[in-house]
Amino acid sequence: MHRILEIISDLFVGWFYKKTAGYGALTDDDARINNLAVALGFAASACDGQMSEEEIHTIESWAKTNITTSNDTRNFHKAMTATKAFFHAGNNIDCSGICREITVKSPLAHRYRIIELCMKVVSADGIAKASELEFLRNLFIWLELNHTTVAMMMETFVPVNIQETPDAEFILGLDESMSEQDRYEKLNREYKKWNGRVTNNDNSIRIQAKKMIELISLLRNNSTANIAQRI
Amino acid sequence: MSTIAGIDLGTTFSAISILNSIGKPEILPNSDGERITPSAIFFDEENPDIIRVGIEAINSRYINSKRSVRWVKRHMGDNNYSVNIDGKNWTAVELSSLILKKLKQDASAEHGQIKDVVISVPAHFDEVRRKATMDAGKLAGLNVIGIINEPVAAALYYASTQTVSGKIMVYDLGGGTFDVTIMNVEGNNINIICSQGNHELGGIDFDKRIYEKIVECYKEQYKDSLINSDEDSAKYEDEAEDIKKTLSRREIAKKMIYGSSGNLRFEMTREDYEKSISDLLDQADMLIDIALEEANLSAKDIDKVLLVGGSTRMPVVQQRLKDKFGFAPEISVNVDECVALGAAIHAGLTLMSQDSTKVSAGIAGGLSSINLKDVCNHSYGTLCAPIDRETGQRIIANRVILSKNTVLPCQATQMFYTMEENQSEIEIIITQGEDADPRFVNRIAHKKLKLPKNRPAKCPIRVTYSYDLNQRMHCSFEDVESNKTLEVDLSLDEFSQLDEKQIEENSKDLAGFCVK
Ligand SMILES: Nc1ncnc2c1ncn2[C@@H]1O[C@H](COP(=O)(O)OP(=O)(O)OP(=O)(O)O)[C@@H](O)[C@H]1O
Ligand SMILES: [Mg+2]
Repeated sequence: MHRILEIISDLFVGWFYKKTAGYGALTDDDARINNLAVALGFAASACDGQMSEEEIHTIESWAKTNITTSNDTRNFHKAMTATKAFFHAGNNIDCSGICREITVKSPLAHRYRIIELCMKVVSADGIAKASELEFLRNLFIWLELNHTTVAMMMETFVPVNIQETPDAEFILGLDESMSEQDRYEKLNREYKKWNGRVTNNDNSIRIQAKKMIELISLLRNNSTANIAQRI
Repeated sequence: MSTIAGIDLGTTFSAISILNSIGKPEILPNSDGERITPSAIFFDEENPDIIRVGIEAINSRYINSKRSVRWVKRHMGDNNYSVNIDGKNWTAVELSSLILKKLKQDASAEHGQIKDVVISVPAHFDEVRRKATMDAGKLAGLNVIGIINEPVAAALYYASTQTVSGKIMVYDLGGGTFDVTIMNVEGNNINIICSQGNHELGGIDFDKRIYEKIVECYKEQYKDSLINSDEDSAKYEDEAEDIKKTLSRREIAKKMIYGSSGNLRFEMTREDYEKSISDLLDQADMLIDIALEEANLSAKDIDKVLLVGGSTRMPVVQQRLKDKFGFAPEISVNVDECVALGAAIHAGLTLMSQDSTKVSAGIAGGLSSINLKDVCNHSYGTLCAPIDRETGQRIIANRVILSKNTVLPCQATQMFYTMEENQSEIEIIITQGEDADPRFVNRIAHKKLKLPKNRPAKCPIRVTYSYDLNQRMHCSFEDVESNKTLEVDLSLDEFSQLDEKQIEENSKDLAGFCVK
């Protein structure tokens, strides 16, 4: 494990013991997992080569609500600043390794909260870049999450209209193991869903819905063309 | 007795028809003798009080496209849309009213005053858009007695002119919208099963693909842009449409394009064209699949496919349907006129059911055997706060009470429970849409129900929604123990962006303009 994680863990976990001794509500693991989540949040922020104010703010407020000892402001800021500086200097952490540890130690529900944090970070500045989307795709695999659930979360937290290079298959929850028939059915279901949203009162949802409809019809078009070619 | 009429207010073309003395619908030609009128508007520059609608407006676009408007139907219900002409902002409703006024005027010239009308809309239009269409009718001085779904109107006309039976699918691909409707027809009994559609899929989207190709080819040859003004766009939009229509007749279309850097000999084969729009037609295919699934049917259960709308003249549309259903679709009815014709039949039926003295014996006789059963076009529900199974926390969710495609008239009830001890009121939000996620449904009414004091949590609240034949919805929220009830009536008027007074004022404004 990289040194920065030790720092984050030490600071955050250290505090945790100081402040909550005797409660026993959280286990060591829970506290550590939350720290690792913050580290992943930073990695998500840094993966496009720049960490925006909005991204940092998102991580900070997550940490404040999820890390019990964050009201120890001085140490909290120390941890944040150290971590920021670490990533600013172009350093990185072993995200797949961290995810492996998280998958062993924490339940599924918790892992969804972590990818949710990273989704929020990635979309905080109003645009999700190619590298950020790549990061989320990896996280989804490393954390061994369910594709349908992650696709639904993406709808909410990283709407297609803010994605620089939307990966239709990932967004729609399609994967290679699906049969042609399953793909068709899934695409139809998604089309129906988004077609019902194109008249939403909220303009940003209308934009998202139109973009989704475009993506879905292109995928359907590719599938049809593939089948035609085989025949 | 005034003349009973039906109007097809289309994205690209509109038409009006009336019921003759024996209850048969007839198309009324406009003042140019044409049976359909382009839904295009031109604000005359020399005479600012004159507004031209129809073919004149189309032709004037090349000269001054800033004063011309088309495709208004795409913007119905959109509050942010308006067109500024000589300082006045024209809304989609006002612009549509000009088209309706033209139809009414031309028809009235020969057939006496036209007042009671039914106007058709795409099946998947939501309440806001339906209501906007009604408002446009009112502004044009019409008494809009009903709104009918375009495919249903087409089917009404179809069933009243030929003997049909079985499961019929109406495939309506027009200038701006696509609808697919499945129905069960036994003689004159027409039972709608379900509809699906996309209000941004039609002929103008196909034209756009050809237009883009022309612009691209020109750029490639001359490294220069073909389009240098709005008038240029107008011109090549029409050239593109022309090429599209040629490709319905021939395998290849050729056109000379006269640009500012030189001339381009543009050629397009039918095959290339069909490829360029295949993702759009795939959307229509998906909507067919979705409609079949909603109807619990498969392609082999469909007995007949009925084509409606000018874009169904494209061979690729007919071929795709043949591949899917195993037989050729029916193209015998006049694809451009059947919606207006059916709307007139519906107007007759509606008047008869409201007040039979308003309909002549001849007309009543002609219509008496027709029996139409329609369905709910959308799902309606309420927001509630169930406990999420995974997290154990309360979430806000939408719960559908009346489902789309329920046969009208209909009613449904569900029980809900108060959340807290001593809860003094419940907040009631009525929604339209199918999503469980509240962000994705539209909120159509917001009310409060006061509750008796000093009660535990979990007191039952009975929620009942009903929907009648005239598209009016009634919702009741009853506190079961105390019998206290909140009643909410939602007619199309609730969705109006204009109240009666505004309509009156707008009408006065518009009276100053002469529509030709
Ligand atoms: N031969 C043809 N081949 C291809 N397209 C055609 C042909 N004839 C007409 N169209 C197209 O049909 C469309 C007009 O059809 P129609 O009059 O049914 O539409 P509309 O009622 O104006 O639109 P909507 O019902 O979608 O609001 C135009 O886009 C026109 O280009
Ligand atoms: Mg039409």
